[in-house]
Amino acid sequence: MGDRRQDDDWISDLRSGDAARRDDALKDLRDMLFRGLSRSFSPGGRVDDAFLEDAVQEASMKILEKVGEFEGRSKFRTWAVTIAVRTAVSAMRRREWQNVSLEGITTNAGLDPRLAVGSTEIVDQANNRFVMLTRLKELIDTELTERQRTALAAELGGMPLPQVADKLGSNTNAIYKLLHDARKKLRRGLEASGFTIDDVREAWA
Amino acid sequence: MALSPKQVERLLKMIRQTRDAELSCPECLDELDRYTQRTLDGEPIDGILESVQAHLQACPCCAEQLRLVRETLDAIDQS
Repeated sequence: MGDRRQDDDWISDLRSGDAARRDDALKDLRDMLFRGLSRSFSPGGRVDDAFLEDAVQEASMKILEKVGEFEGRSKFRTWAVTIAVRTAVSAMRRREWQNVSLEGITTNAGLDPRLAVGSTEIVDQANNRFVMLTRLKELIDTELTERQRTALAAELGGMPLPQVADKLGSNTNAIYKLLHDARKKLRRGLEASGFTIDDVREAWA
Repeated sequence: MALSPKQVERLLKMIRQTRDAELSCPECLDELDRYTQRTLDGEPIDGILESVQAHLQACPCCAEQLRLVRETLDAIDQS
């Protein structure tokens, strides 16, 4: 039948008590996911076929476990591909960041307001930027906790949040909340100092 | 090493886009199949999917996953 199955067929085949029918559907699912992921992930050269085969295998097992919970909020193929991409991206990021230390990208990752001077040739604009960045630096130094500063520097260094969470001994939801609270403090601090969101937008336009 | 101009620009963008209530990355990704399907079908984005859309506009990591989901679905369609 291949991957041209309709949603109902995928669900009934993967849930089937007939092992041969279920295995046939599982094989078609793996083939479909590998075909799709090998085209979408390979262009960047970040992963090879062996990596994708492992990711597809892991994703297929997750899909098989969860197929009983499939609610039809999206088409089966969209649901399955979303699980497969999430699985592959998690594995890829774990691999890419496993040897990068948090200290390496957060040490001395401070904000230097003098950046404003070289960022534009318009004197007034440079002055406005300098004043705002100076206040922002004060807020980072005084309003954020050490943990918030570390997580923020890691995020700005490009480290994905699951990896930040892992290195801080936490989980992604908690780190997201920590950073959300930090951003809210900075935004409110700037607003309390007289900077509107439009000022923030125009300051670095 | 001080933050680069690009990192400062990103920080300012993050501050600008901050809302009082936001979805976390896992919460956004839990809804990604539904969001993707709605956009593929050209149906309106409403309810919690508006928060998903706001998160995707602010979070490069989750936006990358949306891009990969779309590209993977396209690749399957074309193969």
